[in-house]
Amino acid sequence: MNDQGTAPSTDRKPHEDKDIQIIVVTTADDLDDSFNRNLPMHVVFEKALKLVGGQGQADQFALEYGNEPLDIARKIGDLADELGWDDRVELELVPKPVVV
Amino acid sequence: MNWREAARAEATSLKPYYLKKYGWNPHLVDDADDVLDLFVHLSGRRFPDKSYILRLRYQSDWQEAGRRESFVDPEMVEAGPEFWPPEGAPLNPNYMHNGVLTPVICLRGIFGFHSVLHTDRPMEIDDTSLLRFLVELQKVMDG
Repeated sequence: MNDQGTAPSTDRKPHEDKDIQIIVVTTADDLDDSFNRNLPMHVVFEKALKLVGGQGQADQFALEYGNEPLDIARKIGDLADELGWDDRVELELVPKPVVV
Repeated sequence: MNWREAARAEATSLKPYYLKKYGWNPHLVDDADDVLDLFVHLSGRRFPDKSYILRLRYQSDWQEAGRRESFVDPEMVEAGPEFWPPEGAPLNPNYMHNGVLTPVICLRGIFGFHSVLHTDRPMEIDDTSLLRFLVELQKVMDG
């Protein structure tokens, strides 16, 4: 407590310490798991890739939110803050057309 | 599981998420001995105010040769290049194969890909599910 009787201020955002529930819809089974907000989004991407047998084919898929691809190098928490996700979000693993 | 049962299984198990999102409205016709037809309604941002009906025809060799692709008229009776979206990869409504007009889609899982354009690339059923093909084609339709 400080001398005003209130808790000391921190810069933490309300959801910073909570995991976030992430559902990833895929063309195979869906992913439904909770993730620490400090993890990079590529952890989610790779877990979803396994469900479609796409290990080693990362360039053939994108992880999308609202039909827009996500930068999977960014932290889950940063994306959640920027895009207004609450404690749960639904993403989609999208196969990219392979035109030979 | 024989070819017809396998075809019926994949055609009737498309995820509701995608059916709702894209409005595919699939329709299965299973009344002939040697073929099974799946009709899928397609529209997308690449072709505003237009909609198309894709017919995927399953025959006994579909798991090796691919699902045979056509676009058909609104009554789902007649197939032909005039019912296709405009040409542009991977849609080839005017493709000539050995001197014969052979409309093809160059995407994995489809007859045109595995049995016409890329005969050196066999179909692998685990990598070419119906749903994956349809989502890829939808991405094409959305430009």
